[in-house]
Amino acid sequence: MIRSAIAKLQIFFLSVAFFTCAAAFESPQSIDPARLVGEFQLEDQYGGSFGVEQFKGQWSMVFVGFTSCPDVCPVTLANLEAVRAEMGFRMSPERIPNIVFLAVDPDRDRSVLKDYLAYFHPQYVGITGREAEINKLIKSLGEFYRLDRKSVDEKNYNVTHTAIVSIINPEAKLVAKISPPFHPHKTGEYLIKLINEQMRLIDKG
Amino acid sequence: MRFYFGSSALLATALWIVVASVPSLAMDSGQQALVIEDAWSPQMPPNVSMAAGYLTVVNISAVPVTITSLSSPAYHAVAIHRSLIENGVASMVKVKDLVINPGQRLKLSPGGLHIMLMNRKSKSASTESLPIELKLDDGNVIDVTLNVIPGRVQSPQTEQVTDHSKHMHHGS
Repeated sequence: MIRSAIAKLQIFFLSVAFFTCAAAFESPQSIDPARLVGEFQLEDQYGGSFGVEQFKGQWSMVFVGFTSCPDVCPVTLANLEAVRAEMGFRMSPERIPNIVFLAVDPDRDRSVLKDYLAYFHPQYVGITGREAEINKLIKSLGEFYRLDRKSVDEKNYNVTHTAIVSIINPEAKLVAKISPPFHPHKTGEYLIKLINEQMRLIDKG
Repeated sequence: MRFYFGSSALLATALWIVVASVPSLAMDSGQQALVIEDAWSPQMPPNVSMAAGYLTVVNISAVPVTITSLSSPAYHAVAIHRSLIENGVASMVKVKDLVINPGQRLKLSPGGLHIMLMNRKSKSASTESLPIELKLDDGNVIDVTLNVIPGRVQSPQTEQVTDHSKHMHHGS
């Protein structure tokens, strides 16, 4: 009796926690205190090594995706570009976060990543590599993905992944998460405020 | 004058009867119940073997019509998919049968319902058009040509931004 009451209470608290999280996805979330991104070793689209060090020195927006994604990924990239354009009106270019596309489907992504990103924007960085290293970064960012692949031979599988974008500061620390639909004005406004505040803190040391 | 008006009204009525009866006549002679408008596909980077297609489908018949399967000579597999973003997770589900009700105008657009063209057969993609076939539950097959549009996909939001800036330009 008591046990079942406790179980019910647990379910209740779990659902409260779940719905609170679900509701929070709509608005940007600051990560306080900022969390240093853990070690990982991937490659960018030009074959250069890309680890946590490469996040240092500029702002980044990390977006989890895959290149065999002709519908949602181009829309997200276009929306993020609209956010960057909005920020460009009111912010110096070196503070505007660069887009880092974390390609989580290396079997299909590796050979096409360079062309895929060049098609969207010459500045975008695309990173991929060994599954274990991808998983390190995914875990460090608190993100999630799953290849919906039934067998190794299957070619047309989908990838389910978080559509949330991680904002990383020039000290390679995760400072915020932004969520779809990435309204250019609202998201841009939030990021300008966040980045200006953070830069004041960084400048103070 | 009155006579003239009367005859033109009569003529208009006669024309209306002819025009109004055309769709049903067409239907009887085995023509398609669906009208396809604005069929396009955003140009994908050259090495990517997947593509998306979008169109607007209008059911001009009096009965529901179902798109049961799709195919293309240029891709190994074609299907209708729906992209979903739920609780911050993006996923995609296959829509097995797409039902279009009488009079319904259904728009497939980026980030939602779309035609998924999978595993391109040839090495290079066409930069102009992609032919596809829609098979319907009434036995008809519709040939559709997706116009390949270069440039970035415009989401509803970015379209708004563009419209806004255009508006500002005209105003100044």
